[in-house]
Amino acid sequence: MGSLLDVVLGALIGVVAGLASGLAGIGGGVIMVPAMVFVLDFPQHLAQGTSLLAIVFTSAAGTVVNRRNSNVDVRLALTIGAIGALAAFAAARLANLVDADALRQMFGGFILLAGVRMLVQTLRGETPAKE
Amino acid sequence: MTTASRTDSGFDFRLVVIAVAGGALSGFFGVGGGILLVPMILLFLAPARKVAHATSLGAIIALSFAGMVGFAMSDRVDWVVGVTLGAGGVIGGALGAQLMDKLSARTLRLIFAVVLVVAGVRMLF
Repeated sequence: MGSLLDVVLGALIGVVAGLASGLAGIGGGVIMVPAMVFVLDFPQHLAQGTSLLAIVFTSAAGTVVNRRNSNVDVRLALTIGAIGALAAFAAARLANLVDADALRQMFGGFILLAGVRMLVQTLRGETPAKE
Repeated sequence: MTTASRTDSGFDFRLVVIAVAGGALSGFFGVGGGILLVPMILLFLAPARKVAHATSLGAIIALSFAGMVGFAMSDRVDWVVGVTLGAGGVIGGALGAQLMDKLSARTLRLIFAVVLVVAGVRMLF
């Protein structure tokens, strides 16, 4: 479990990830997982599991605000959530069978693609609308 | 709920594909999955951007919880750091909403995109 320094750094990483998603429209996970790996020296699997716990809180808080502004299609969110949760659980179990180095490399490929896509979109001026 | 994309028999198969793809991405990589869900919802299910974002985030509560359980079963969740990360994220998100008009989203997106590319390359090699 985390030391005091981990906790303080964790909170800071959370703030940066929150700012990133609030201001730039990118998800917190792609920021939090590499930050935990490089700053907190977490193994890849622990970083991913911990990221998911953090996202439970951030997505719930964001949804409270979005509900107030009535932007949530509740039926659609519940349907995607219910079906998607089964897939998410199965995928998480699968990820836990994958070797840490291989998982880190796959994750690296994933965020590299996400970063390149974001660069291209932003340079083209296709900045997604902010909430 | 959009009705245009739905057949009379009631069920939209694309919805299942989108949910499974989003869930799989979220659980496998430990992210929310919005990066996939938002554009797919936008394209096939709800054409309004704000609704697509908000609906995706609502679904992510369930996806992230289910994925987190999957990692916790292998003892790969740091509960203390996860809670502080989450608290920081909520504060950062609220701060971001306040600062939105004062900072350039374009510049921030460029900075974060470069961060992702650099981190991605480091993790790959």
